[in-house]
Amino acid sequence: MTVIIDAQALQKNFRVAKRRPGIFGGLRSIVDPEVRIVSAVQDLSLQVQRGEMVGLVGPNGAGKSTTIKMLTGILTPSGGEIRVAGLTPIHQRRELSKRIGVVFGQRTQLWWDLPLLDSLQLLRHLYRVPEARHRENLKQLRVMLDLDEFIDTPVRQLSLGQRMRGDLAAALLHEPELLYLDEPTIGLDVVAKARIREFLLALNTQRSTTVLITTHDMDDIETLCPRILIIDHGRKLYDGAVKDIRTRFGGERTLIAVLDGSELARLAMLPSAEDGLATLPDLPAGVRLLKLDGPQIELGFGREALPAHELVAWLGARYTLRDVTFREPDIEDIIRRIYEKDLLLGDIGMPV
Amino acid sequence: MLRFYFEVAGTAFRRQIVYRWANLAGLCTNIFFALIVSYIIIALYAVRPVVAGYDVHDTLRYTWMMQAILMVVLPFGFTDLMQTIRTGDVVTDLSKPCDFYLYWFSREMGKNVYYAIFRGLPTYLAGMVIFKLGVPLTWQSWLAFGLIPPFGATLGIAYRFLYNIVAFWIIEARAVVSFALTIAQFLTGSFIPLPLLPGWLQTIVNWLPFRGFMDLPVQVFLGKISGSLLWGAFGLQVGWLIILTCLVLWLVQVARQHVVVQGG
Repeated sequence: MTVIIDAQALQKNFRVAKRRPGIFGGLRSIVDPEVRIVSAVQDLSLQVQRGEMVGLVGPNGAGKSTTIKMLTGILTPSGGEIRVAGLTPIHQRRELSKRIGVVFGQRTQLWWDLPLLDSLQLLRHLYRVPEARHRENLKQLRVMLDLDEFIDTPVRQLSLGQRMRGDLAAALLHEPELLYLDEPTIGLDVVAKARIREFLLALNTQRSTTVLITTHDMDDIETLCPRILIIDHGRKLYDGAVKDIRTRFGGERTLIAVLDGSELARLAMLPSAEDGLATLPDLPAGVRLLKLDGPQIELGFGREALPAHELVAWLGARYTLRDVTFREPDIEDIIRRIYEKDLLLGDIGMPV
Repeated sequence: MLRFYFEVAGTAFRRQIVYRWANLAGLCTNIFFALIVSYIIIALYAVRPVVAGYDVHDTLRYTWMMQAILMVVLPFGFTDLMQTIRTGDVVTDLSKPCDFYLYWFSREMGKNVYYAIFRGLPTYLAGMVIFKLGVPLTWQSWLAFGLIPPFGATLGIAYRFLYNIVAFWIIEARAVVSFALTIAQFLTGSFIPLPLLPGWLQTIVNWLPFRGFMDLPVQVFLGKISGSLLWGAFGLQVGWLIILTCLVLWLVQVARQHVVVQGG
């Protein structure tokens, strides 16, 4: 595998003029502006291999879009090195833009007043795609994205999901090696989201297009990206496999056990704590009772506390079990925990 | 790449066609204003038959031709570019593998062709019907008319690009637009024909870029300027075109350096 994106110690500072409050403050700000330097991205390094699908996750204002804009060459980094597909984005922006596709979920590159097809035809000339090639690509994309039902409709009349599909087609007609997606599923309904995800997966397997995607939707990440990068305050907090993130930051897993009906009487006898919740006597260390609802018991336990099967055995030795299931911690909760506690990459060792 | 810019112009042309009713309403406005001004002119000419070499017929022609090319050179409410800067949509245009200014230039050129055909022509035709304006009959007039107005339109595009691109620095720039339009319209003779201005003002105005926007094309159409005077004015028009274009290209460069893309 070869590296397609290689960014080292990326840095971006913005100068923001601060306005003083009030009339006189406003006047003073004109003559003597108070400039504050905001670092949107600090010391961010990232490497993406060809054919990878990588998710870029972070709260609003974390620096995701700024990073993407530096990677496309729209913004000049304040420091650091970038190579994308062997090119330096800011100096070779035009060459680079022929080899990448970009979709900004909240923006569109389609002509608002004209049928979708017009915009797609125009792009052939922009990227100088040979006509036969263009026809072939368009045919494929029409099928994959199901464009036929609305390709002759003016873009302003399209639903958000349709427009998004149109924008994806527009970004892919010149067969880019690399696709940047900035919140591609924002505001879409469940069906439209699923459709876009399916398409991206197909694209990645069929054309092995590298995809870098920023999103707030954890389902996007879980279905699409084996690897994620979490950034906040412009710094990288995590870079690694999605499945490892649970092991590392996972917090509690939950065991849900349904006991046999005959145990109900015994459960009712359990002593109650001050907060009204029943307590199970002699629970192993690191395990707590989350909920007791009729025959259903929910136990939360840390990954380090004890292996899951031992907990099942412990419970099985005391009660007659009907059914046992586990619930993994919600990825969204984990990420929230990471944002809130600002867990740094440094705290958990090296990136994967 | 040239092909792309032509296609952009074509697409912009087709985009205008979508708005037939808006165009009809605009056409009525052009004719309405030209009518008001015409009757004022006719009333004023009752006092004196010829002013600065322009008789009533010349001034009426001047007025109607002005209205006819107004939308081509100084269209009202062109804030398209400004809007993309405000909303941040400009990033999609900035990330295209083409020249940012040429892209917008082609869009505006496509629109200009549309306005010339569907606004300019009918406006002047209306004037021809109502006031028997007629058209010049010398081939020199037509030759010069084929040459000078396209340069005027090109100047107009550079100008509208300039007053829109300020949005990179001033977020609410609509006031700048109104100001820029009013000044330009006055200095290009849209309110009062330039030849009727006092002599000292004309000497100043003749050196400004605005004359080349609309006054020069219209004077050429009327056959009021010819020979070395015409070539001098044309040279000045081209000079200003080069200056404005360089200014635009330089500002685009500067803007690229420190864009803060609005809205994340």
